[in-house]
Amino acid sequence: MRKHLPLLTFLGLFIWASLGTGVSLPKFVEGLGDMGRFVKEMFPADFSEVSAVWPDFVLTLRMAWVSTLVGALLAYPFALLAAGTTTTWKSINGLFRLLLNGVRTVPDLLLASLAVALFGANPSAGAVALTLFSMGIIGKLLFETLESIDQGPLEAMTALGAPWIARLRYGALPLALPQFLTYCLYVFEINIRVAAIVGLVGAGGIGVWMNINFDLGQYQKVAALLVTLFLVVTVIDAVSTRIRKALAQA
Amino acid sequence: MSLLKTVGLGMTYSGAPQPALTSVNFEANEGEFIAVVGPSGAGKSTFLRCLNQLITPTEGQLFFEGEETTHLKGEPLRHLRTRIGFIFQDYNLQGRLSVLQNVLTGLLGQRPALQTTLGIWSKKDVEKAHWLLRDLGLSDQSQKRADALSGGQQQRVSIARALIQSPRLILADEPVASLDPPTAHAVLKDLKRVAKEEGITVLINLHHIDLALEYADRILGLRDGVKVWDQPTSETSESSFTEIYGRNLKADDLAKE
Ligand SMILES: Nc1ncnc2c1ncn2[C@@H]1O[C@H](COP(=O)(O)OP(=O)(O)O)[C@@H](O)[C@H]1O
Ligand SMILES: [Mg+2]
Repeated sequence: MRKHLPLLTFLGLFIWASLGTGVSLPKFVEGLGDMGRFVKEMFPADFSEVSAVWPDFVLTLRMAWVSTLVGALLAYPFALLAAGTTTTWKSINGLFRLLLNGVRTVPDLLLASLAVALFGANPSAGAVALTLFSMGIIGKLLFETLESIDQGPLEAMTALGAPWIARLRYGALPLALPQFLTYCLYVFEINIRVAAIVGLVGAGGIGVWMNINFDLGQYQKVAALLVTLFLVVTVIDAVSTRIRKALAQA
Repeated sequence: MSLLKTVGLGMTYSGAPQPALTSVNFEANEGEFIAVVGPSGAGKSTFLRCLNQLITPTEGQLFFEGEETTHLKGEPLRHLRTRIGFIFQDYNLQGRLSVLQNVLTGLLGQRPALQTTLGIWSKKDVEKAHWLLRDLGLSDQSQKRADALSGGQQQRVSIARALIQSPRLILADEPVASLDPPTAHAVLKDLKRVAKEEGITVLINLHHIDLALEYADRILGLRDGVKVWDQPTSETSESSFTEIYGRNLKADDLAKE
């Protein structure tokens, strides 16, 4: 019994969760039928306008990239202040953990809608939303890495009287940096997809065109955009995965 | 001249039913090489860590160079620590950085933080680091990653990191416990040699009594957090060790080597 506890818990949670969504097998099959009809209408994909909206593909990539970088820069101090290994002041740890959790609690589409409300329907709204989104994830991952790094070098730095900033630079950073870069690439991969999605609420990029074509019932054009996005994402994922593998060995 | 003094030093860890260290009165003079011995759990590590306040003692007073340091905090405490080297059983080097950089980190408490954070070191500091590495037989290892070195080499790097601090005192907590016996002897010989050359006081925790007998000028015997005796090495006898270990461990200990 005890041996099967994890499996039973998993099954239990699965049943409980699926009841909540109201999805049942018949409904799912029925849904598949609708989906099939929808997919049929997407064929053949109409690539005639892809080159015209190509700048918006590039814009989506740029949004994803700049948001990842700025998000990572913001995440770094947050994680350093949240981790007990790097900052030994408990109330500061608590405050910054709360902030990091808070950022991640807001769903990305809600972030995007809020940003659109604040900055208008344009790419900067998307970039702001994505930056916060990136900061939440990278901050959380980096915080967990810092919590689990080897304490030895940090202790040695304390013992020889190194100031706080030097402890971080020489005690924690060399251990956390390869991981940090890995997280940035990983979040960049996610961000390309999210950057396309936030376009749906008007926050700039290729998602805007998907939304427009969708509303006009131009499913064949939507299909072309999806296929192109898929190709772009695949290429970037492949490159990024390679770099991440190399970093893991560093 | 007295360098370090403890008066009634005591430490009770929070939540612990008994103190780990009780009323230790101790004095170390300039240039002495002193071993602290005692069975596991006797309080050796606690004692050493109280001296540079990696652990804050709960009782008693600390004096360094004649001045009370018991309640130092923040900057003054950091400044005190820059003059005390600490050597750990597991070296505590930054494995991802080069051997040379590891030695230079010994100066982090003594150089402007902005400069060190950017990785800028004066030519003089770099030369000193190279000189120390050469002195410890590591000159051709300086550009290697620290974690690529053997245990004995890593412990020598950590000795160099302590020496570049120009310390008055070095505290070493079981520095050779992770090394094989020939390497342990070689590292202790090096540590003793450089300490004598520079007139640095050394307090070293050793659980191998034969090592203590061979290298120490003076031995402090601890048991259950209490100082049982404190004698020049030449005056210790087998009964001294029986007293703290509760059995004739000296013979066993020597047989192991
Ligand atoms: N961080 C700690 N918290 C609570 N008790 C501790 C801690 N470190 C050591 N002790 C206890 O204090 C006593 C002395 O330990 P220690 O100084 O490590 O002895 P030694 O170095 O001689 O083996 C032991 O009973 C040990 O269990
Ligand atoms: Mg110990």
